[in-house]
Amino acid sequence: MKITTQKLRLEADKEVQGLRRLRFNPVEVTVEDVFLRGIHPHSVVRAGNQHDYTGMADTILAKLNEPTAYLPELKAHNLGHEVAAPSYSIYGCNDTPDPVDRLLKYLAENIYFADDLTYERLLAMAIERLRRIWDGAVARNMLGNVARDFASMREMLKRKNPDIKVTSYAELDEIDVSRLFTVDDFLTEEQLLLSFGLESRNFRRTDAIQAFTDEEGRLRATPRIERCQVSWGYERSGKMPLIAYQCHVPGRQIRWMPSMSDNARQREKTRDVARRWGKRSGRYCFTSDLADMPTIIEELRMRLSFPDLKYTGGEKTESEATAQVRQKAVLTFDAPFRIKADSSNEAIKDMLRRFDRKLTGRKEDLVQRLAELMADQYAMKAPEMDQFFGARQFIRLTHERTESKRLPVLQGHPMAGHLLTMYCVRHMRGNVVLEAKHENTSVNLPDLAEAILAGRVRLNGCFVAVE
Amino acid sequence: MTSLLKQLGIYGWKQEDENLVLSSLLTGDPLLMIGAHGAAKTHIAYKMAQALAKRFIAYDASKALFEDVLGFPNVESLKNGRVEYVPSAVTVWDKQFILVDEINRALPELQAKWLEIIRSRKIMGFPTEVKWVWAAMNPSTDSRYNGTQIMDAALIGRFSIFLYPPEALDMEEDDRIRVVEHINGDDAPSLGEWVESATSRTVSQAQTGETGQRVAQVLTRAAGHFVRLRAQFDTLGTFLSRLSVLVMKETDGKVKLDGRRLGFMYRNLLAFRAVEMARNEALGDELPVFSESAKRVILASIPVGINQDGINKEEFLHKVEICLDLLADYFRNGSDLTRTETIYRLFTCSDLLEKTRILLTENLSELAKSNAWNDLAEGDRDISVLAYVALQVEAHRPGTVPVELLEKLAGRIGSSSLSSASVPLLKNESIEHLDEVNRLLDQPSDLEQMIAFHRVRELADRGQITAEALGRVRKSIRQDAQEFKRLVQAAPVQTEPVATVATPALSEVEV
Repeated sequence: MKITTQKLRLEADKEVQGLRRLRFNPVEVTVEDVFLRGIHPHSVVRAGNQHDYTGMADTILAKLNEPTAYLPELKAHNLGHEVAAPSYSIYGCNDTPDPVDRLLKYLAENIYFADDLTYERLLAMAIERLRRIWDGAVARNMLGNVARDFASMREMLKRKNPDIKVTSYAELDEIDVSRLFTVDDFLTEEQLLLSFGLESRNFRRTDAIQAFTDEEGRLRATPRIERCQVSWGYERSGKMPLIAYQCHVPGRQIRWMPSMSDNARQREKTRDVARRWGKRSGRYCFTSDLADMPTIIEELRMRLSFPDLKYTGGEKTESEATAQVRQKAVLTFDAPFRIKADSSNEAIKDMLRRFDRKLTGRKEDLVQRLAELMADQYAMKAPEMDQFFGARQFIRLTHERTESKRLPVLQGHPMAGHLLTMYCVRHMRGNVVLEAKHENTSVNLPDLAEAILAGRVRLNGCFVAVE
Repeated sequence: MTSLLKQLGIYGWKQEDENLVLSSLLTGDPLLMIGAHGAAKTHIAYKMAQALAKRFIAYDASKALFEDVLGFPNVESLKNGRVEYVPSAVTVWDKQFILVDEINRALPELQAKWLEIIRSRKIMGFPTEVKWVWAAMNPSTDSRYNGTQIMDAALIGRFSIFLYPPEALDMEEDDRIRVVEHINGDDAPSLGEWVESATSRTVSQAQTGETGQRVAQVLTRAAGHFVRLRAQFDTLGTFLSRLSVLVMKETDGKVKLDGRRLGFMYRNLLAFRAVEMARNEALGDELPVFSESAKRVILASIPVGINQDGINKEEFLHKVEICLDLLADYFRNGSDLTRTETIYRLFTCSDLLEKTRILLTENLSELAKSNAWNDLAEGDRDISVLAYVALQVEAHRPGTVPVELLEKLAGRIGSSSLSSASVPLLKNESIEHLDEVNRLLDQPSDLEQMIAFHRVRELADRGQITAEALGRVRKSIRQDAQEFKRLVQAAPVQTEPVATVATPALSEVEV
């Protein structure tokens, strides 16, 4: 397992002596560096989608924009302004999408670092560089910035050489202006000298980067990192779900806590891991030395991540390991039926056909016939149901439960649901306790059957057995 | 029944109100009368003081100046560095019995001054001879009385008894006629110019004196009873403490009985009963049932709806009354706290299985059962396990649950509570105990399983999954299950004779 971070340093600028530039390169760090010294685990959290959830880039920006990061004298001359995150386009751009890398690159290109630098000294540096890079293009650009329009430029050129003939911009571009003007001709234009003499007009103190690096220049925004996640995703399958550990690192020891679903193989595997590495410190959760972490991760082919690492303010999250308990349930029963008064004629006829009943007539006739059939069948099957419910009571719960099983009586009978519903309605005490000895005979069987088919009497919920 | 107040020319008061008056005279704890004008509030104080031959004055708080009560400072004493006041006929120093009339018309800054004398019988820190302080006021909640002020809660808190004297139209007709025909000292003031005053007054001075002697006799006997009752009802303090919690719970925290209020109740209960016993001995009055008397005293000791504060007095007092009815056995059983403790636990314990146990095993009154079942069925709390157990017992012992609540209770068993899916995920270090938790959830019967789901859910919700806690839960699941199974087995199911047709056992059903 290899973790790298960006190491930052300041180097002398190649163009302007006395100014320094940011340079950075990735360096490998240990788990002790990360957890005990808070070194930013850049390669682990490096964002491929521009979203820097750790807030490292924002932290760097915030530190560089603090008042103490500026050189006060230069800032007074507008030579120090707020740095903003460089924009990123996914189209036609070779920039890295990682906001930290992109920001560091931007800082390297656009910020000078210096100490004890006066405005006069900086101006002299700019003039000196200008003299070195003085050529036609530079001179032409400076002239264009001093003169507001073509006539003014022509006049300035004429002042240097009265014989010169310029009638258009095209002719002007043909002239090597650097032969007519020297840097000294622009010495009164200080802002222009700074703009053309330096690559950037944004300055920071050299110690500003210490606010987000350690003494070795490695990225760091917190003294310690105490949480991480280690997950085993490579062999994920339906039989072996993902194993993930939430890890807590209070010191040189690391506490591993697994997340588990109700899966026997997963539990077995986590127990194996704890046995192998936990040194009897727990059955599922275990403790290991921090130094063993890379070996464990590599041996188990796991991945390290830092989902809770967040340097900036706002709500901090703390991921938790969770385990699901074994799924157990109280057995519930119901008595569903499909054919009702609003079912199709064919469905009703199909049921009547099974019992050799007449199939002709309107829908009302068919439903009426079905109700009569139910009543007849009920009378026939009542002893069987009495026998079953005489041996056991049930309690009706008013909530439905999808896991409910069909009451195990009249099994195989095509009208079992209908008949059981009739039986339950007639035999429930207080509409709750289902018992054979209680019977409500106030409604005759055909009327009850018809009311059930029409949905005027419903048997909602499910039943649990009385013990 | 003898009416001592009637003998003083005060008609229409119920015996229990008369006894509240006597209780206040016995203990000296302040009494506040709240009633419409003309309800004889001032008159009763005057007549009682006269009957008992106590030095009395009635101050009108709406206009009494502080100097009237205190007297003017003695200039000569001041010269010598001593603060003294010059007493007069209206100053408070030598009075034994005072009435602060129209107390809710006193400005808030003057209410504070009355507070001192009501609280400590002192004024400006100097002791007085005052033993009895009564006050009277028109109801602030009555829109007819414009000049009334909001009564400070601290001032209200100093009164022990709150009495609502009857208006003429609330009385029996006989009493109303007597009120009409009664002539006292303030009525027809010039009649005495033309005939002997004794003949014009309905109640003579001699009659007043005789009544005073009877009152004194009752109070003397009552004082002895008070001392004896205090020793006999040595658990009364515990009872009131239980009551205060129940009242707070029943009124959703709107009626909070503080320590002083409970102290007033304690003394009022003893004093009231002592007066009843004394009357029984001295006047031959019937001795009422103590539980009923206690209810009256406690209700009269709670200041609800004194101010226009949007509280429905009747509704709150009704709730308190329910609490008292639930605990009434305490007074019926001669201060035995056992039943009170049971009722208290039933209504205040948060453990659902303990509630279930009490409801299903204890010999509770119908009122207590009905209230408890209703509270549970109507409440927001998940009572799945309780409802499940209760319906199981109901199936074996019809009548365990009020029949009208059967379906409601069945509706309170959430479908999720029937499975271990209702147990929250174990988190972090709790995961270490996963195997123990799984073993706990694996119970041999549905009843035990429901109890286990409930107990483990409770534990996980509190984030208290530890080896010790799981051990305790294992034990409690076993105990609860044994207890409920015993209940179920106590009345075996009466099943129909088993026929020969074979039906599959429930355990054979494929899940």
